[in-house]
Amino acid sequence: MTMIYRNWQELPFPEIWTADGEYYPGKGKANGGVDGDPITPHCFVAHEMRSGRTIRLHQRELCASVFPPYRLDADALLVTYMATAEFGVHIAKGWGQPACALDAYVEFRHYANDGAVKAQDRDEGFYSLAGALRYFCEPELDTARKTDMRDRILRGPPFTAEEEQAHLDYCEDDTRALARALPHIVPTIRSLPHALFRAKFQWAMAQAERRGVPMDSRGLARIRQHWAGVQLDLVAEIDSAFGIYEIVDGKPHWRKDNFKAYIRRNGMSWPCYENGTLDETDQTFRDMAGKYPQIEPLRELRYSLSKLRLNDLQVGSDGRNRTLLGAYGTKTARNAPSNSKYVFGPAKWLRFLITPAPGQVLIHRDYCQQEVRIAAVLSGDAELLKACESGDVYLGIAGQLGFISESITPAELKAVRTLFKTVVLGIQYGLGALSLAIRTGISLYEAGEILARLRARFRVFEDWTKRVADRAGLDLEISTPLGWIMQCPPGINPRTVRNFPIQATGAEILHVACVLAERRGIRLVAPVHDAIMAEAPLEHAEDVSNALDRVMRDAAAVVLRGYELPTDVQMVRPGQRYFDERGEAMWNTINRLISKREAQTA
Amino acid sequence: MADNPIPLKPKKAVPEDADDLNALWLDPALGDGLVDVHYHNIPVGKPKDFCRVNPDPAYRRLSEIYTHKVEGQIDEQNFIIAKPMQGVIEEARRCTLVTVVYRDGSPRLWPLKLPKDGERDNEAWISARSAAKVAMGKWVKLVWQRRTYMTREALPGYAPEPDWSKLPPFDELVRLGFGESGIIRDKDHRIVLDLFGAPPKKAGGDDDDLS
Repeated sequence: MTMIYRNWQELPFPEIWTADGEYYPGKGKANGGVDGDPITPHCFVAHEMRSGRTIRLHQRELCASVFPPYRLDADALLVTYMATAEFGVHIAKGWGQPACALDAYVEFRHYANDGAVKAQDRDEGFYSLAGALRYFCEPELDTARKTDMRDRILRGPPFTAEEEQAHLDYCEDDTRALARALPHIVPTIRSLPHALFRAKFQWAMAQAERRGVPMDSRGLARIRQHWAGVQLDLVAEIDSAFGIYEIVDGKPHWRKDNFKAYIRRNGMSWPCYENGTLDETDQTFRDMAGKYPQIEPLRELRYSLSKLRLNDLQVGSDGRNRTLLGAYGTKTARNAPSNSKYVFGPAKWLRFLITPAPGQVLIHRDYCQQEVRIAAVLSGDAELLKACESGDVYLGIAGQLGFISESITPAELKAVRTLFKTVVLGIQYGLGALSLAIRTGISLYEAGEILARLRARFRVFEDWTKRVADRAGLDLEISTPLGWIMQCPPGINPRTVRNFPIQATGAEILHVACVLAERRGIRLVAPVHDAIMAEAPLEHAEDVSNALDRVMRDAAAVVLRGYELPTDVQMVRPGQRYFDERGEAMWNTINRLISKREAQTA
Repeated sequence: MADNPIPLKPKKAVPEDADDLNALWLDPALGDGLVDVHYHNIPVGKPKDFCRVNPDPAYRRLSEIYTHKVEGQIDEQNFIIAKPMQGVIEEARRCTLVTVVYRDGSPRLWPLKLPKDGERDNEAWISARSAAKVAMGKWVKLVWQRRTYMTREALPGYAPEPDWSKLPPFDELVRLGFGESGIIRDKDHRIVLDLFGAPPKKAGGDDDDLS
């Protein structure tokens, strides 16, 4: 099961194919194609490592080929780098799923998964094929040529014969480069079956990337058309209570001095750097919005103005949001899609643009309080699981800790739930009393008391987290039930270690769920952290919804040794929009402002 | 995964089409007992916070304790007197040594003083003993008021029932609480020598009174 192959030639496959494909969106960018269109395969090269045979397919040959240039049974291993791309070609061509595939990108990422290294500390392109070759001291790729070639291919046809030849050569270079990287990557794979499973998840992601999330493209076009003006309206409406922004040349600018004055004027205590400047990071704003709820509209406005680039949202001509889903993009193996290209990014109000295609229904199922339930099951804390089973885990825990009296009012109950949501999510990664006090606006004493009560009540979980940290310290690594490993060198942040088992197990449950969903014929369109969105014909809505629930429960049972996790569902029927409470106010404000502008124009 | 599975829900069999995925499951051994927590010292004295007293008779013992106070110092040191030496030191007091835990599970030993033969019991001692009885069933805190100890009961949610199974054996608690040199077994103990005005032992001499 956990046999390590020191030499790629020992791999138990008569044929080992490295492959690389090139494609462009839709008809190509020069012909009206846009990022977000379904891909059109342009060329494909496959290289069999044992025999040295190379197969080159240019576009005409690709169009004519009904079958892939290699076998798809269990006697052949298909190796690619970032498999969703080549799988995308498979799906576009109807070639089918290879029985055994290996994503060298995922395996390299796994090998270099160091919990002490922050993503921004890695060199740019560290995880690319060129980066992997550099890491293994192999001759590097010509990345400048690569960029030129990619840009040309993305523009689309017509291609000259010379260009086609050059693209095939470039594609073959990548295929051979992958063949040079593989001998280094194979010995790093702790378990081949687990690596093959990871590629199966990549297949599911390629399917979701191909299908895309259906959007209200007219609605998006409307917002894009008015976005510049709406930004000014938003500032006029929301910032009037704060007075932070200044309009210069028709554009809103955040003024640090105004913000500092606002903080002073309102007697707020705000984290600042050694040089006295205020910490204005998004995370600090999120934290401080807990303590000072009145700044929440300002935080949302600030995010929407500074980070939201509406034109980056990749929506194809058919109104579907398609982008790289970034599988295994984090230390915990959770997906890391682009915040600006993916509709399920941090701007929650954008999600209201998600709407099903005619005759279709969207089924969004998410695990109920997945992380805390995983924490309970992994640690074996029956008290914590009992709180989860009480219906609402946050209120369940609040009740266990004596924060819900018989005379509590609905408003107080809501406040307690909000507080305990922060508390419960925080204990998973070891939130301290000071941070809890800052985030929730309670006193340091209260925060300390809540945490002490939690530690006393859920002492099995607390003991388990200590043992996890000890184990990681002894082994210098930590792993999950399906074999995803994070290195834990000395000096690693203990919170990273503490949080890993829960997050990574959650990721694995989603991986298994996506693989099972594909097997059972459910059309996934998006994985969303601990949720899955699927699409189905309207008449099959209930059946598919139930089937998806079964898939997600079965997936949890696989990873958690028989324990199923319940799911919640939101069905989006034709004419309806996806709903997210967190973005509702902003969505309504933006729509009102756009309507006002349209009325003025009319 | 934890060593002790949660018995709340019956385990579900994995469906056939997930058999291959199920076969990939490896035990990450995160909750194994590779490391353990041990106490190296335990405080002796009355509890300062909400606490519970272990109701198990194996976790309390009738003892004699001498509290050594050095003039000009706030700190004091407790010595437990072994059977052969009981009654020898007049300053020592009879007491019931009970085991107490705080909500974080940390133990301490609480000497509940008793009157000597012929001596009158006093209110402080009586009330401390009755507080300890209350603390066997509830989380309570000692509150000193008008020469007696009152108990203040913790509000609901303060802490669950203590997990007494985590406690080391009582003898081990005593050893950790008083230390090897905190047990007076014979007249050669340095504190006994000090109390009876004997000259101190020569430097470098064997100070281990337990051998």
